Amino acid sequence: MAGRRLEEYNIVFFPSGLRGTFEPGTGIFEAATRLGVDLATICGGAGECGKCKVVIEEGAEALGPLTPSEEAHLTEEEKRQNYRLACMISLPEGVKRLVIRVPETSRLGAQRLQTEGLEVDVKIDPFVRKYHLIMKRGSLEDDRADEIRLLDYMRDLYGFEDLEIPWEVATIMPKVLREKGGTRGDFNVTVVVYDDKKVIAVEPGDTTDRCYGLAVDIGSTKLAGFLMDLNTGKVVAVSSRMNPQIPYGEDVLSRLTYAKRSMEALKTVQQAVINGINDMITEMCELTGIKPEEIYEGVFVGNTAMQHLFLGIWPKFMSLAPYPAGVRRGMKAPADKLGLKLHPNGYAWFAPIIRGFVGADQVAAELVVDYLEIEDMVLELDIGTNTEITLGNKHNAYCVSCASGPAFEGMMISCGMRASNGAIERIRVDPETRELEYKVITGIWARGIRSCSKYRRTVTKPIGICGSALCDVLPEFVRAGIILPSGQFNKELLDVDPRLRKRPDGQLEYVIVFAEDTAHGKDITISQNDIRELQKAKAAMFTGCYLLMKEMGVTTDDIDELVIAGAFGSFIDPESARTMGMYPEVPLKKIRTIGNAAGTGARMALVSREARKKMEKLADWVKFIEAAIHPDFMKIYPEAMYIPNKNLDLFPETAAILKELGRI
Amino acid sequence: MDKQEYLNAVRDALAAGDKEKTLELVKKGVEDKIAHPLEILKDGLGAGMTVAGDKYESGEYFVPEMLMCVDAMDAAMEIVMPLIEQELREKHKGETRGKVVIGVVEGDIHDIGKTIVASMLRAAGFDVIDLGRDVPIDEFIETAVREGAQVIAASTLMTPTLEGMEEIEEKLREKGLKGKIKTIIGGGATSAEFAEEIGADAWAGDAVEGVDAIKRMIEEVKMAMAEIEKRMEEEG
Repeated sequence: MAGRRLEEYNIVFFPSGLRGTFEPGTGIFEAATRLGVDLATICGGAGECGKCKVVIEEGAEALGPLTPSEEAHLTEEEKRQNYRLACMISLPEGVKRLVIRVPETSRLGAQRLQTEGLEVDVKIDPFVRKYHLIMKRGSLEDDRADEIRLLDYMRDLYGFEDLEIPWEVATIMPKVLREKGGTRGDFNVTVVVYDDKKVIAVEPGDTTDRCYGLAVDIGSTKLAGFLMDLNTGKVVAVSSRMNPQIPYGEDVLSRLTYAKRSMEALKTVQQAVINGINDMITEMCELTGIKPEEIYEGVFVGNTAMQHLFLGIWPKFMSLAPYPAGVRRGMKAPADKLGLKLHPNGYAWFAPIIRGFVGADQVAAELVVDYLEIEDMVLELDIGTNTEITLGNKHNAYCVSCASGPAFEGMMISCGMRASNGAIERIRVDPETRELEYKVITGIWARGIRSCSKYRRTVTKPIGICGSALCDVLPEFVRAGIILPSGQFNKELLDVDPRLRKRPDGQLEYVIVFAEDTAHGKDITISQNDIRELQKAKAAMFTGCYLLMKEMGVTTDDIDELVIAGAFGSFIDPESARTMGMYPEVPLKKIRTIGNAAGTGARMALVSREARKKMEKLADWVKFIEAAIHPDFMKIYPEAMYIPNKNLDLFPETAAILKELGRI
Repeated sequence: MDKQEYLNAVRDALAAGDKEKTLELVKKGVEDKIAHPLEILKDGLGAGMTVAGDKYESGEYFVPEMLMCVDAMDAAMEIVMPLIEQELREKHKGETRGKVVIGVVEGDIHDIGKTIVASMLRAAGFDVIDLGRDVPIDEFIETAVREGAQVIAASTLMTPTLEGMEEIEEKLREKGLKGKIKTIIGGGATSAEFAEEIGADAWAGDAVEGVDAIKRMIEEVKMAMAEIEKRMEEEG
């Protein structure tokens, strides 16, 4: 569950965190391409377009002087800040490490970002509401205090009985009431009320049509922010970027490990994400003309670790068994105290979590599925480095967390990479002839929707394999007899199939793309170890599903719907996942993807008090099982490493297919 | 069935992970006195575990197959160990049989790898004290001292618990035990570099490597101890 540490690599790219060890003399543009770093170019690395500007954060002094091309393309300011063109520099001899930042402007933004499905199906009933008042001015006969006058009007017009006007609002209120109309004032104001209880602002004139909120999905890799109109519930702007915490640890556990060193380290990690959110707010405000002071609330949904690090809650103990969270219920924090660029009296609300490894993102998925209301038996999985699974309906529900590892994200896999340009995203192998086809993510993007290339007619040469194609490896290989159901390569093919070969270290590997057809001139392969990593990951997920089914007394047939949440889950082929035995063998028509539930849940909770109440209820009501210490774990997990499973009774359909092909 | 044939059958049954057959053979061997229990342990079961380890190394076996062998091994041990414990004590009087304290460090509960290593060490004839998972650092050291173990083997899958391994090294140094008790670390979050950084005596990428390294270290410790004893004798 841990990658190697950053110090072990000699080229590191931020903010993606992609890194590798390269021979001196390797071009930085080439290194970026090989690692799958999102770096813009038009000329393809010839020093002509000047698009691949990067900032050398560490090791700049070891690089040679600027080339004429760089002199021409870089501004004086950029030169001072150690900007270079990636295609003009290479790894110098004897330098320990180059740390290279790819600025936002040099990125294609080509990583898959889900922006579809932004509308939420809830009754619009936000925590923050605005009320317009035109009050009678004071006189000698009516000398009520400003506070009492405003409260009387709020009671008479809108029925508020017990509103609080806190000190920070009271200080400027007399002035705001008399913003126009001379010393006596016009008493024409808009009152901003939070949770029907507290006045968080009084604004001059009628501003009721300008009431905004921010919903944020705090992913450990990516932040996605949605600026919403709280009157209509509509999304008015979207922004996304890499989580700026990545330099402090790529995965959740390494990041916790960094933060638990000291309070200062925690502060650093906390500040990184807050800066990232503030940048997104600025970007969306500039785009829409909305002012940060018109955003009164932010709702944040992430896994437990991300939320703890954001709130600055001491994270050490949640990283150690039994992984206790510091805070479980939803948490409200004043925006200005956190340093968020919202209205200074506004609030940030962090959604409730279930356990240390079942966070608010899973609660959000449970909200989207609507476990509190449904009669159908639903199995929901959020697939990732840590996979969270919930099973149940309105009568009863259990959840589980499994340390599935980062294999399906392309980590720990020899030719693995993220889903960006040049990644193989689908693999198909003919079960009889073993003819292999693959599909590459191409460079052509239109508003986040990728143009579809047909199999084999790929424009871009492949660099590596991303998660959705890794998901095809086990089922396609087993059906074609390349690996046995145990995961071992079929040695009988050694002399028959030129793609199967022995590496110098004795390990077997299968060539997906030969060197002449790849972007970097090296074979793209799947090794025996890669297969093992994938087996471990999928076995952990199935074990989670199985333990829940056992706890609930539910069989595969009883499952009415299988819901896949999370960005990754939307890109995998559900049939591949099912054939390899990642989850129970339910009919394909019962499988549905709901995309990024954390973002959806955050948007729902921002505009709906009911949704927020449901999240609190779900976090408290759904029961939790610890998979790793479950008495059945040691039996189910090893069996689930087989493809589809050692216990074929659980996978009758797949078993029949494999039997017909003579694979079992 | 002659003895060698019989021992080969035990070896093959265990290497195939066939618990039922392994148990049946071991019971029969003991009852019919086909082979001495010590021979069953060493040349049957132990040899079988070695075969399984080789298959693991070559990529033929993986975690599920190894766990089946472990399961068969542990069950067979319950039959033979009571019969040979007395003998082992007498036979090895004066000489130390290799002893290993093994466990998953405090804060982590993932223990499959550790369980496989423990069983393979038993099969290799070592005395193994398995402390289980989520084991406090002091317990590793106290147990090793109390039991006279030569090696502490610590495992973790998760990154945050790496510091527990560093603590083992620190505490051994503090107590002046570093070198007298050797250490080996393994598990998903560990690496050879990390082992070197904290001063662990060895790192293993998998169970087979781990067992090999532990064998080597036990020999080293024994030799060092013998050296010291010899010198003390000479000096009177």
